[in-house]
Amino acid sequence: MSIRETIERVYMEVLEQTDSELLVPKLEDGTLLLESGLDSMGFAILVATLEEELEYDPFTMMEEAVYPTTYGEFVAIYEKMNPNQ
Amino acid sequence: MKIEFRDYTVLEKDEHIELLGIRNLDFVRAGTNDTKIIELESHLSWVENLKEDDSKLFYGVYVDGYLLGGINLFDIDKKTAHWGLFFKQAINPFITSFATYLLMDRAFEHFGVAQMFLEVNKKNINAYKFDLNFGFTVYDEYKNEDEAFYKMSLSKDKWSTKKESGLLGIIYKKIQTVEYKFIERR
Repeated sequence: MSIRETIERVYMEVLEQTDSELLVPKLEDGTLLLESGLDSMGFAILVATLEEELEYDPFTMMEEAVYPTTYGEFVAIYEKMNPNQ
Repeated sequence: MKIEFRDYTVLEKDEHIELLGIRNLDFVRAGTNDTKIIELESHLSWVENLKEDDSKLFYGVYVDGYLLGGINLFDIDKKTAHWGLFFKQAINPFITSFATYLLMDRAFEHFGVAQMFLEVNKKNINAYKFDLNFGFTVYDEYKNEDEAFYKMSLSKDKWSTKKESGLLGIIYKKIQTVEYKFIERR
């Protein structure tokens, strides 16, 4: 399973865990994270869960902090920071 | 990651300017019940009064040395307090949850607050859901001239039960990797 597929699966699981709903028809690269359905705690849970699955947290690995505003940027950060690539 | 909660009364003028720059952002003001832009002189005068006011604790939140927002307790008495926060957009996904968790824990465990209250704009769905995830429940609602708000509360007993399990347990676990401190007023 690719990183993108893992992120999408976990994202959907966290939506359910936090009793939330996807607020857009589909997660696309241009989807704004803050309008996608997860609140800020949901994103924290998402990153923590992804750390358990992927075994890295890109946000603690960055030398210069860059944070995503869209889903595409979020996925790209995980792909770029993947220590196993 | 190092988080510092610096009481407003220990901040320098240029830090207040930076803080107001965040507080006056359109999206931050839209989520509050006072949407007016706060002018610097008015803010600094208010901070002067804050030094003598034990019912309010306002902190600038610094992460690794960078000011990212503010978090506060107000209407503090022996048993209850209200709280609020504001942050820049596009920050580390954990910051808002960490800051809120640490403030709740400090209010309940350090200051002995028994019941925490908040008000959230009904249009601010993300903030409302965030508060629900922290264990707050709606006990009332009201409207002002323009907007409608939920009134929510969380008891110390409920916090103590929930704070290391479920969703909060995930935040709790991550917080163990964070260095943090509160720099209180002089």
